[in-house]
Amino acid sequence: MIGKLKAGLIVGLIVFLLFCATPPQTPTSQPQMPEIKIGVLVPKTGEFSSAGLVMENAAKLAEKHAKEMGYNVKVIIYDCGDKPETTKTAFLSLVREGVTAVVGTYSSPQAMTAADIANESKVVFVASVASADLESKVKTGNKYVFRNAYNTSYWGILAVEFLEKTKAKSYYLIGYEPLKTFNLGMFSLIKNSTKAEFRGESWVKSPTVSPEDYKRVAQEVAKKDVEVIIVGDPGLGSVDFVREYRLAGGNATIYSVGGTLALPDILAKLNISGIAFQAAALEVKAKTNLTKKYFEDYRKYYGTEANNYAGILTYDAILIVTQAAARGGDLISNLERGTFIGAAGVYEFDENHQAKWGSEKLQGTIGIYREGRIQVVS
Amino acid sequence: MISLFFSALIYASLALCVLLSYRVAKVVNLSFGSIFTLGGYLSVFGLFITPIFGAWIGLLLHIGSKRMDASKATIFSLGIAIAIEEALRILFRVENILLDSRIFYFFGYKLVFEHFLASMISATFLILFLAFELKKPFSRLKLKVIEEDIENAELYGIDAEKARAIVLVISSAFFCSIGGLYLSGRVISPTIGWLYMIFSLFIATIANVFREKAYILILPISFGVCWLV
Repeated sequence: MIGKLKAGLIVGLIVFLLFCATPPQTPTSQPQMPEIKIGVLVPKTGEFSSAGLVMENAAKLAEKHAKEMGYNVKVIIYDCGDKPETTKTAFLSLVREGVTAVVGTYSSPQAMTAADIANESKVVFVASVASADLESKVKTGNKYVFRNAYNTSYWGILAVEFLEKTKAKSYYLIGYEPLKTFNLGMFSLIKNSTKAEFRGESWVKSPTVSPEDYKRVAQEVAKKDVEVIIVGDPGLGSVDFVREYRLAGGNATIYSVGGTLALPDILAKLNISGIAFQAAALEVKAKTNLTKKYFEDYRKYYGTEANNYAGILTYDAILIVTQAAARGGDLISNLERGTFIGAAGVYEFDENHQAKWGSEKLQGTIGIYREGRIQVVS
Repeated sequence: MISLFFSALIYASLALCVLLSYRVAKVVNLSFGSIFTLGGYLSVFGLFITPIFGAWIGLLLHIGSKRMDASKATIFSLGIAIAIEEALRILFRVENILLDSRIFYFFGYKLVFEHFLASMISATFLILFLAFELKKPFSRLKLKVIEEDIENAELYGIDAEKARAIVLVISSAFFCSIGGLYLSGRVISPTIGWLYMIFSLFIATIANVFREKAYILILPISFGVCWLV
């Protein structure tokens, strides 16, 4: 009996010692940050689909980089087509997905519609490309809309800066009808701000109406005696226009709003000297530690040079929302008061929720393709 | 004016393909846009392969849709268009490819050589078809019977299925070849061919109003539309 008791005591002691020796249970993983869901409206179909593909790539890259920085981000991409109606449907679908904010859209009418839906659904919208008059929406009480892209004035300011820097005496404007709101705003600012002489303007019709209209305009403009031609189309048609213009004998310097004509590989292959363009950022002129990373990784993952405007600003919009949402509390207050790092610079928003382009830490870049390479003008 | 005339030639021949597909093969072939784009991408490897791939897709469309009615066949062609587009996205990855081109002088005008070649091939295609229309009354009659009613054509012993296959194969091969040439010097993306297809469809729709005279009038209509827009 005593022997059994002793054996029991010994077993009990061993069990007790083993229990004491067991290390305390530690959580296997760190507590996760709450997930930040960001909706991205991308024109995958329709007139702006070439830009849409770049925006989609940039959005995926932003998600990857944000995760590398330690943020728990999920990017949900929806096709917003090229019309306000399709944008509305896509925005509402993202709201149903429970996103924290929506970024993207392309044209001005799309951005205006998205701004209205943001106000109705109480979900923040950051316009990453369009230059529409979103400030008026904020002034009339829509606090849900922000823009990290340029406003129309800044597009004009950059073009005027180019005219002044190159001491151009005359200029001619080429508008693109599908982007009429944006082009008209930019042209108006140029006409009112530069000393160079305005020699006229022509408009290229939508390629769905007339795929060859750029030829008519190029041949017409080639006959004009002018120093700089400002092209308002950032899409594939701008390359057709430039080629046709040179074939028709035109020799003016071309200033493009960027997009396709800002792509280094396109410029190199086209090999036409005297094509200037604006870019939110250029690889050769790094603005933050993200600039180089964006261009390098874009090239690495997608096998092509990064588009300089629609792509990079969509990338930045996602990072801005991520940084603001991760601070916790009210997203709108965080966006209004915060400072956010992107690939194109350091963002702050003014009282109308417009990114402060032109400030010391956030400036557009102007490049020119000359003698087989891209040179920075400013 | 000269580039307008060359463009009109190209659109007239493309519209003729659209019209033949609609009237003989009984399908509004929505894959033409993607076949045109495919031609552009394939031209990177060599222009000679473009008609082969185009013909192969035309044959695929014929086999896949021969038992379908017009509306189902049209939707099937849209499916093929989307499949080609997606395949291009997957295979080529990059969103913007600038195709090579050569400059050519034609009576003092600077032209893109490949565009000039596309115009000449289009002119030849139109002339051959008009010759067929005017010089071969029996073949022309057979085509007319198929256009009006396939079942009647079969009752008369006409092989409508063979005619359908020929039309889809030749028109697709033609679209692919012209795509390979006409997209030279341009930046292409997987959706670029839709613009050319829609414009050709527009010309074909106007020509179709003129019923029996449609094939004869397609060039002046194309010229008029190009000039107007």
